[in-house]
Amino acid sequence: MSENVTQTQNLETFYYDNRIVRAFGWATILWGLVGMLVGLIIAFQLYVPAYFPSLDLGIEYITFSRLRPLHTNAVIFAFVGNCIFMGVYHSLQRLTKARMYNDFMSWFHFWGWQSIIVAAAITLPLGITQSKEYAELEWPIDLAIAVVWVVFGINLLMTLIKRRERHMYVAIWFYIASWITVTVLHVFNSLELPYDWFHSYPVYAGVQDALVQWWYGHNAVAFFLTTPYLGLMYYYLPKAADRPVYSYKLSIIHFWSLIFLYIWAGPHHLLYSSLPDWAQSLGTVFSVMLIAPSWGGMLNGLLTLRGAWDKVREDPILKFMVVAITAYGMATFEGPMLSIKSINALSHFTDWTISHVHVGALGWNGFLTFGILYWLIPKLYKTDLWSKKLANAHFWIGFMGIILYAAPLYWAGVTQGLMWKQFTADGMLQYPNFLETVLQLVPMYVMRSLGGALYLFGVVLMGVNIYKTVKSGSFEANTEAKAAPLAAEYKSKSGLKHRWLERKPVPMFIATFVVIFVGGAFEIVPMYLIESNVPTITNVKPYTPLELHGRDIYVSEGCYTCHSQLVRPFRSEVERYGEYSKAGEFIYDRPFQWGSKRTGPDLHRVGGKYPHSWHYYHMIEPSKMSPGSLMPRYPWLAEKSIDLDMTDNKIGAMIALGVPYPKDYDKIANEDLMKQAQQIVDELKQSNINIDKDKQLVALIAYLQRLGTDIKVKE
Amino acid sequence: MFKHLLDNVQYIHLFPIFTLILFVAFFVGLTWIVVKLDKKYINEVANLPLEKSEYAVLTNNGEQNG
Repeated sequence: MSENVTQTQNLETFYYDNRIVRAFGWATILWGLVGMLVGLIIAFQLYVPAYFPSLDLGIEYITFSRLRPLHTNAVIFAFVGNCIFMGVYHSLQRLTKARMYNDFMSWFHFWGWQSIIVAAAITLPLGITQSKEYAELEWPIDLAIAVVWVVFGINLLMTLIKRRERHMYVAIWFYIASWITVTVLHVFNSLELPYDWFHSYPVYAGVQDALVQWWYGHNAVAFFLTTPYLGLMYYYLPKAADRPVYSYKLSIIHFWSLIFLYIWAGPHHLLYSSLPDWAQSLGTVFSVMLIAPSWGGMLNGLLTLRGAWDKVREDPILKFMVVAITAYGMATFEGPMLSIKSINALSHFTDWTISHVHVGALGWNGFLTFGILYWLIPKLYKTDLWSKKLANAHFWIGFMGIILYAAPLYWAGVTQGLMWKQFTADGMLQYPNFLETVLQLVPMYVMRSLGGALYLFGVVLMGVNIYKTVKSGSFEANTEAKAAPLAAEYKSKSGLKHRWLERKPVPMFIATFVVIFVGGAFEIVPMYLIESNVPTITNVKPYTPLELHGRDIYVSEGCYTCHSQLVRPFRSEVERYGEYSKAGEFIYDRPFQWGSKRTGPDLHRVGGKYPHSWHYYHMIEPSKMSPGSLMPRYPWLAEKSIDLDMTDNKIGAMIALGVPYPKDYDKIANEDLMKQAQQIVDELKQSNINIDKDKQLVALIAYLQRLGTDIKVKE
Repeated sequence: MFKHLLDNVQYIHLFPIFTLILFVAFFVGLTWIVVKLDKKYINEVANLPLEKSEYAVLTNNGEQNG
């Protein structure tokens, strides 16, 4: 090829930046350990109170409901996030034959991202949260994420523009798609109106908020936990196996179909909810179709090893990768199955979901990360892995950990799902007491935590192995490489084809954006439709100032991590909780609080079900009112006061968002607040409970007693 | 105006069918393009991570990876 000859004549010498790769690598291991440790702690918290009630120390910063978002954020954005960046910064330089565009940007990205993680680790235990799953961080951190993410994007794009390799390998497309989609998701799901330095209300309410949140939540899984990792798979698996990917053509189909389909599937998180039926069906159909590209990718990965399976027996790196890809296949088969309404009716709100995501997180993300680390770190240190034996031990311990984690939770999920729906011959609920269905699961929770502990132990072994490897080698901060610059003009003989796209980063960015935008737009469309589609219910009125304070406490404490506020239209749920939830009931809910898991009962119809005194005692000592309860104690709610100075900010923000409070109500809201608080305090006094009007618990009781009562016929 | 058009939801039942057709068309077009790609090129790109393609230049110490 004549062009090739000219290229080799003027070689440029340049250096790959390994320091940034190493930094992200260390961050991956560190945050992995932290995130998994927090996961293990909350796994213990789910059953320890059943055996040792005194171990619930009543410390607000370490309750399950505040730590659970810390666990998910740490694992997704800190562990997986740093691994993505490690892999991107390493593979992108080599695939483009260019150093990263700008070292300052690389390090800004690194330190910016770590600061965001630290900010999350501080604010979430403090109860500063938006309560949107995987998007809990408050608005100042949201802004910081946007800045750091854009810097990463510019660095990525500019590296592509000044690259020396004409074609962009498929891994790079996955990186591009991930960057673009996460940008779009983050912007739309973070549209919020701040009412002070650390708090905000979302611009969407109720059903719309739920739809946008799960459009985001689903695609956080898709474009943060999946597509970047597929990029890593397409680079590191061929590297580790020393053979090209099985079918490059299949990888092209895999890429475009996957990003096209993924973005539509969000509503499968909202089946049987108050979301319009057609949107639910759309989510289901696209979820089922997702099996095809997902499995195309999985098979492409596994078949890459065709003829090299003997290596898998020897090499722990390939073992990790094979299990990772298999876990990807299992999770992407299970996901669509769980999106089928009849299966979802059983699985949703149970531990089945938790098991499903952990097959993905522990198997796919975790094991691929470990495989890449074991491959990459020795290369950076120009040495061999310290102990292959220890890596093999890690593999088997981790593998057993996954089995021991997932199997009991599947069992738990099905058990609880069936118990919720079980009727007696007389047509009564067989297990009317919700707690009974939870206590049944305690042995499974114990086993799950053992599985998690095993898995974490494996990661510790990896830490030791990598530490020893590092000690035995010498780090190469910059790797020298030579390549010819791209010829300025290059005319394709074959005209406008896919190849053209692969050579041009900017059109590739645009094409990817268009593909994900089509799906995104179709999903966002319902948001506009819903406004006119949601039947307004005249009885549904905005929250009173006291209830609003109470609601914000509910959000801040993370009650949604265990309690849903969505009664699905099933006979079993209507029997247990009351009338099923209507879309029109949520129009003042900012943020929506439907939840995704019921470790405790649904609360949408809890208003008026118990006297104030019941709630008081229940929050102070849950097991007093429900013997055997696994719920943490919340004694500080009776001691801490609500910030009355905030009332006008809160009401003002709500008015700005279109909530129909009377004109200038924000100025006089505290008067109403005090009146309502006085009523509650008076009623509590009749049960010999003395509490001040401004305590958080009073506001929370006001909110809980309001829940779901708007459409009740008042006597 | 866009919002106004969408307010009219009487054909909403066609929405999923339309999106399904959209994807099938996208998929068929994509497959057509991919099937027609030539083998030599595919082979070259597939080998990029291994740095064994025509354009690849080894690093200074002769290792294939950086």
